[in-house]
Amino acid sequence: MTDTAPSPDSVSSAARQLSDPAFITTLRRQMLRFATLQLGNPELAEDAVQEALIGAMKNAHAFAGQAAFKTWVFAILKNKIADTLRQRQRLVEASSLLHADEEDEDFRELFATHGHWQHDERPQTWGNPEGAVHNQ
Amino acid sequence: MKTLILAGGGHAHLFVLEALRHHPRPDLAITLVSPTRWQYYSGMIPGWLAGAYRLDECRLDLRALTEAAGVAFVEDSVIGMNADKRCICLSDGRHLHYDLLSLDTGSESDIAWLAELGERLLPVKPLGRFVTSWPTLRAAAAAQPGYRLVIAGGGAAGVELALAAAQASAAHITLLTGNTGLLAGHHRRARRRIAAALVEAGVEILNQRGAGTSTGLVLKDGRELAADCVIAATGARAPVWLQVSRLALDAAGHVRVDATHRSCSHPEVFAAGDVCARDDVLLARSGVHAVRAGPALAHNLFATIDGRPLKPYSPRRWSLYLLACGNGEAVASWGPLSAAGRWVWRWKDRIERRFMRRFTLGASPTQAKSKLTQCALKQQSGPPEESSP
Repeated sequence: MTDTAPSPDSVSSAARQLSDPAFITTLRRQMLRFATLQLGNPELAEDAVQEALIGAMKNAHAFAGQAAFKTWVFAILKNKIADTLRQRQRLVEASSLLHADEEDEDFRELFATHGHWQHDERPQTWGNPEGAVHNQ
Repeated sequence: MKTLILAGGGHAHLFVLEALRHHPRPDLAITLVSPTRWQYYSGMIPGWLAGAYRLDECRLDLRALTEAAGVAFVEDSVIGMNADKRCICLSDGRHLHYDLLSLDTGSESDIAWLAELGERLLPVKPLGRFVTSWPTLRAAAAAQPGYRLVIAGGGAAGVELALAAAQASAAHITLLTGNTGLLAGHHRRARRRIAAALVEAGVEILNQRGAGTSTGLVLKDGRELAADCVIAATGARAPVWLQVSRLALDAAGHVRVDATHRSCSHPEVFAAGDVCARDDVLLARSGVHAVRAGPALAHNLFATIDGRPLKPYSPRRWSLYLLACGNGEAVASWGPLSAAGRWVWRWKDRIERRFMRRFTLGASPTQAKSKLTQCALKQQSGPPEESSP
């Protein structure tokens, strides 16, 4: 196993950096701007940012500092965005096929006019990949 | 005439086909839908990678099995359903209506952390695509010195793939286990044995997660891990179309079922395997449970139609996992017990081959017909032994 435990000094230093509210607030704002631009939907963006931040902060003690943390959390966010876009595309395709012959009940009701989820109709989270690994 | 649709060709549905082969139901119109006629058996795929099996030994022909069971076969994917209207939708736009539906479509590899890899990503599921892509990957690894293969996922699938790939290819292999480490949930002795086998096979182990980029992975310390290919064995997630199915789902999007594997919201829908989540017990996402729930599912589908009482599937406390090491050895892990060696591989090989023989038409006479009927219809027990599909 090549993953070594961080020294107590680096743990406290990294923890201090990550518990700096200004750092996290700025980072979160940057992430949200990026995700909203990519997804075109503030709520989906909020979800992606939240999941990326939580995922990244697990084991925050092992981070080498703010710059590394930012690289890491943005990498996670980009994947979440790519995955969300793909999943949403599949749902849209499924909905158009599923409800092609129906006029009374249109699946598109789930989406707002700009093609994004209505607030109350959004899918639930996709689950916890870590938990899935654990369960294998 | 009532219509029964079997969506997916997973392990549990093999038992339904078997029951129909022995007790045909001409009073029902039954259709099985699967994206491919070949159902690959995950328990043997690592053995195929390592060269222990031919591909045709690791797959079942759903077309032949359905024909023998008097079931119509539709080669297509389910891409949506409306449970309120008792209808499933196929990728070609066709709608199939049912009186009774059984879902065994399996799950997908969870690629939420890896989607940015694009062409470099090879998810383990669907298995058919993985099997088709493997020879290309192997050829690329042979042609390119220093080819780097990363396997993401420290569960049974990731471990077996890493060990088989180390045996079969020239690639430099890294196993990214995630924060929970190797084989979380298994006994420490089994974990130690597997760790030793990985080290011996030259597999690099990193106990952390990675996020995909266009060239490989970023690790939590900001370090980049270049990868020519990343195999996602990161665990399973439910197909996204279930979100709009109108079925009751758990928080992770799996179909909620009771102990008889009947949907908690729609009594005319059953589900087994990775696509479902039991309301009463936490089942590991393992083929073991899909196999063992199969006989109960077969019973309950026909009992529903005939108005007979349903029977629950009661999972055992521990499941036996037999993990191939790729070098003619295997590690057994069953609750607190663990063992390793060539004899474990022979044991695994016997169990896997017996499973395949059971579902292969015209297989050798060692197939115990009386046992089949007992298991599938009388519900006295699950399959005699289980392994790590």
